[in-house]
Amino acid sequence: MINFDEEIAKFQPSLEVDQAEEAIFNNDLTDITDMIESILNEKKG
Amino acid sequence: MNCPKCGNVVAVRRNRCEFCGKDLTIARKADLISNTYYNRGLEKAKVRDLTGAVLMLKKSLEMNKRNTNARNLLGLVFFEMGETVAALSEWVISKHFQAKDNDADVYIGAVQANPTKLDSMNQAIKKYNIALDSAKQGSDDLAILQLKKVINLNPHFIRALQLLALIYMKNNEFERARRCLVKANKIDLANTTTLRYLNELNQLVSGGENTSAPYWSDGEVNPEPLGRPISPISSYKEDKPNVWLFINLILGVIIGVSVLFFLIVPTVKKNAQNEYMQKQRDFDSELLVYRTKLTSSEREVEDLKAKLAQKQKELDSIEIPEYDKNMYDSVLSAVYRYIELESSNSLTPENSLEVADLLTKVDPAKLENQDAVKLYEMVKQEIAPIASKEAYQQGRAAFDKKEYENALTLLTQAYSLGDPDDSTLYYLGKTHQELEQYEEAKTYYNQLLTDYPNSSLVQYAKQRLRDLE
Repeated sequence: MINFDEEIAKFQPSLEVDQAEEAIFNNDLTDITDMIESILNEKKG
Repeated sequence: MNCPKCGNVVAVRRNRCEFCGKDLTIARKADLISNTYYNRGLEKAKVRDLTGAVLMLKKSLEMNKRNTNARNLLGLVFFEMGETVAALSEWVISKHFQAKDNDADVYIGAVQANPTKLDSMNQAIKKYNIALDSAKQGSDDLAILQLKKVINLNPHFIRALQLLALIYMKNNEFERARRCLVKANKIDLANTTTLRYLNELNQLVSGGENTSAPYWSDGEVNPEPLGRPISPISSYKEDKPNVWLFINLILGVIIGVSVLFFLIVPTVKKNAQNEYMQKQRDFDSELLVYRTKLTSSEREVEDLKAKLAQKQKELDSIEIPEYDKNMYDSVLSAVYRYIELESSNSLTPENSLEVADLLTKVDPAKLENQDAVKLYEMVKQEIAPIASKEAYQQGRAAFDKKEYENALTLLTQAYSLGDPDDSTLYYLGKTHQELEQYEEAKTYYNQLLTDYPNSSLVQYAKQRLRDLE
């Protein structure tokens, strides 16, 4: 049975076009290669 | 493959970059896994499992953030799901990693080429946010209104469709909720939220029985669930040929014609008649005026005719003296005789009568020449006193002799020579009396009384007048 309040709470506001720049800037572009690289760098350091 | 450190192109078989010496083993494996995930994501996208495609493509990007194919495809999937900003973000990031020969240029250009469409999508996002706030605050009606507008602006906005369906289900509008979920399901076949709502909807409609459609079906909800929802009976009826329509039409025409015939036509006729009568009255009055003018003109003509006749009569009555050329002979004879007698000093009272006789033949009115008239007057002026006296003497003598006719002639000559004295008048009266010409006698007696009131003969004249009466 659906709890409507919980379901409605799951919906998040959508980004507007004006906010696209901020969204792009805050986008995390770290992939697995970067993570492995950082781990290796830590290990060396 | 490009070296993740220096960016130079590295041959496929080499596991170490020739330029920077970086070990590329892990990078190659990550690249392979990324492509694998990309392929899976592409397969899911092809069958419209957009939710599944998003998961695969995100994993692909986690393996290799520089996989522009995966990123571009992810943007396309987001765009199809109505997530415009997310799509644009992915394409921009894709361009960041690969500036040249990138399909993202085409996608971004297509969106920017239609600013109206972009603006409508932005409006849809704004309204969605407003609707979401309203729904969270419990204003379901407002949320429904806004979400309907959102769907009109962006029919592919899956989250809006899902939210609207949720609100409908909350308000027990199951049919509408079902329609929204079906639309969402057509866009994204395996969307878990959509499927979950559909399952819940079926349970609600069927009264608890699980009649949800299987995942691997076409996604269409069983059109005839066991528990058929209550829906209003359609009031649609087929059009039957309506005879009354024609009857009413004919009746209307008849009524219209009757109104025209009984109301309008008589009024028009009456108006025309009144107008005619008015024109006739105007004409009659004008005619009367003209007749009056004519009558007065006729009267004037009559008056003028009468005046003309009178003037003609007056003109006719005027005697224009005829000039007699023979008069000149008489004048000359008289003048000649007078001059002859004067010059010879033989002018006597006796021969003055001769000149006076000649002058009596002359009528000065008939003399045209004024000099002749003057000559006549001059001779008469000279001769008249002498001749008048002589004529009286001879007339008196003739009276005494009882030669009354002769006396009358002489006395009349004396009278006509002008300025008769009282004796001449008295004896003229006596002569007429003797000749039994009593009226003439009275005339001369009265003239005597008038002209010579102090004369010694007045009493005699009065006595004779008494005798005559």
